[in-house]
Amino acid sequence: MKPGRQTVLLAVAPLVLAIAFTLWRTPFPLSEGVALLEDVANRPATSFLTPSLSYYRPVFHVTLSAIWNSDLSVPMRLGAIKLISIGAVAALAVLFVWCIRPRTWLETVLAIVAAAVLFGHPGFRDNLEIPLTYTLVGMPIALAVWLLLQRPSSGWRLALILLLMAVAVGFKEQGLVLGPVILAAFVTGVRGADRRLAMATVALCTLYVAVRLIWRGEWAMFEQAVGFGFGEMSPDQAVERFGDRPYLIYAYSSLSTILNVLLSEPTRGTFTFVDGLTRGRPPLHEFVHVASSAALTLVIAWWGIRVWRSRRDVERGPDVQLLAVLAAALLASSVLSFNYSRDRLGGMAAVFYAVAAFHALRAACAALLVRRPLPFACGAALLVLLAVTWQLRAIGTLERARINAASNQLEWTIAAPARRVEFADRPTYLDLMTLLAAQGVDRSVPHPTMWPRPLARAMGTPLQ
Amino acid sequence: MTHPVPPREVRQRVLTRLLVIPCALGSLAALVPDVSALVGTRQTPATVFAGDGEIAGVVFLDADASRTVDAGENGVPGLSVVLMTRWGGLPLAVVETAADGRFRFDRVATGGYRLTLQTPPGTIPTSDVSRIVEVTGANRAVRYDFGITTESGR
Repeated sequence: MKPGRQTVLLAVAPLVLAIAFTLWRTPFPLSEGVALLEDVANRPATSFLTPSLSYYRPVFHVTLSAIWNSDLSVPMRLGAIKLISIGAVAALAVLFVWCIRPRTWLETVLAIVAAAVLFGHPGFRDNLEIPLTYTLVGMPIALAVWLLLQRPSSGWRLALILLLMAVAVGFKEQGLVLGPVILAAFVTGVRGADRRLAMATVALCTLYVAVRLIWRGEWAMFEQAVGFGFGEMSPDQAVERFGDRPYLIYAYSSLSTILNVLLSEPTRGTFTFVDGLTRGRPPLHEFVHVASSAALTLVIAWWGIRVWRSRRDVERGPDVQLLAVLAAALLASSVLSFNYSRDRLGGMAAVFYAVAAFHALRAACAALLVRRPLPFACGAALLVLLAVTWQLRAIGTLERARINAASNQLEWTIAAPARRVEFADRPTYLDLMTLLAAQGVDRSVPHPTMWPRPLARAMGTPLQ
Repeated sequence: MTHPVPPREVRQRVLTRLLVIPCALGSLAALVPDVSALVGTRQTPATVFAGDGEIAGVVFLDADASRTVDAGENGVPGLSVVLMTRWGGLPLAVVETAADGRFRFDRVATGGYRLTLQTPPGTIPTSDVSRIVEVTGANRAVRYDFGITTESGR
C-alpha cells in the first residue's frame, strides 16, 4: 500500500458504503416524501420552471418529475430517486480526496481525518434526508468547480463550470454560493478563474436574482421556525416579535449559520449547548461536537493568520486562494440563510471547511515536528484527540442516517392512519400513501446500532 | 541544559502511527452493521403478542418533577406510546393514552422491549422518554410511568 489518494479512498470507503447502504434502505418519509411526489404527480414538469414561490428548485423538481412519471416500476422509481443522494455522497467522497492530494503517510492520515471532518460536519449530516436532495447535490459540485478552477482556463471549462453552477442552483439556491466562490478565486488569482468566467458568473447570478425578484409572487417574512437565543419562534411569533425590524433577526440567522459551520453551535439558530451548559449538564455528544469544531476552527484560524501574513510569498498562493474561497463560501452561505438558519444550509461552506482543515492540520503537524519534546507530545496528544472526536462524529452521521430511517418508519407506523383521515380530499396523496406504505414499514429498514453507553452518549445515538 | 530534538522523520512516523489508530477504528466502526440487520427482525408482532405479560403505565403531568405520580397530578390523554424491539428499536405496536393518561400493552411475551413516549412539542419530559423494560417469568406485569411537564410548568 502506498500513501496517497487510493489509501484515503480505501479508508473512507466503509463509511461511504455504509451511508449509501443506509440511504438505499431508508423509507421515504410520510410527511415530506408523499407530498413531494404528490406535487410531481399532479403538476406538469414545466410548471416547476416558473419561480412564483418562495422555494424554487426547478432542476430538482423536474428530475423528480421525470423519474416519477416514467414507465419504471414503483420500486425502481423510488430507487432512482435515492440514487441521486447516494451518487452525490459517493461523488463528494471521491472529489474531496481528489482535491487534497496527500503525498506522505502523515498527509494521508490527515486526509482521512479531514474526510471525517467533512462527513461528521453538521452541514453534511443535516443534508442526508431522502428524498430532499438539495444542497447534497451542490456539495460535490462545489468541489468539482474548485478542481476545475485550478486548471488552466478554457472555453469548455468555463461552460462546464457555469453548467455545474446552474445545476447546483437548480437543486437549491444554496448553489449560488458558487458565485462568490468563483469571484474569490478570480480575485486571488486561481489559475482557471479568468475575467471571462468572473463576468459570466456575475451575469448569471445577477440574472438569477433578477428573475427571482421579478416573479416574486408571495413570500412570507419568515418561511419556517426561526431559532433565537435559547428557543425557537414559529413564523407567526417571529413576525409578531421582529415584524417591524426583520433585518435584525435576518442578521442573527445569517451569523448563526457561520457559527454553526465553524463551531457546531448554534443549531437551527438556537444555542442548545450553551443552554445545556447553563443548566449544568449538556449532552456529551453536544460537548464533543462543539469542542472538536472549536478546536479545529482554532487550528484553521492559526493557519489562516499565518497564510494571510505571508500572502506575498508565491509558494503559499494556493493557501491564500483556499482561505479566500472558504471565507466567500461562509459569507455567501450565511447571506442565503437569512430567513432561518439550519445546519444543512452551511453544507456548501462545510466542503471548503473540510479542505481547509486538511491544509491547516498539515501545517500544524509541520510546526509540531520541530518543537521540543514536551510541546510535541502535548500537540500530538491534542491532534489524536481531535482525530478521535471527528471520527466519532463521522460515525455519528451514519447513525443519524439510521435514526432518520427509523424515524421515517415510526412515522408510517404511528401517523399513517390519521393522515389518511386528514387528507381524505386528496386522492393522489392517498394513492401514493398506499403505494409507499409497504416500504414505510418494511422490517429491513435500518435502525441505529446499539453502541456501548459511553460511545452512544458521545455520538448522540439511542442508549441501550 | 538543552534537549536534543529527535529527527523529524522519526517524529513524523510517531505522529502518523498515533493518528492511524482513530482513523482505522473509524473505518472499522463504519463496518459494524446496524442492529436491525442482525437481530432486529427476531422480535415481530406475531411472536411478541403471543404471551401473557403486560406492560402498562400512565403519562402524567409531573408538576414538581418528582418522577412519581403525586396527588393533584393528572394523566395526559391522547399521547402515543410505542413498544419497540429492544435491539434496534423497531416499532411493534402503538397505543394512545386514555382519558386518565393510562396505556397498556397486553399479551406480551417475555423479553426485553424499548418503551418510548412520543412527546408533543412544548413539553419537557421529567423521566426517560425511552427506556428498556423487561417482561420476565417472575415479573409479567411491568409498569413504567412517564412524567412530563410544559415550559410553563403546567
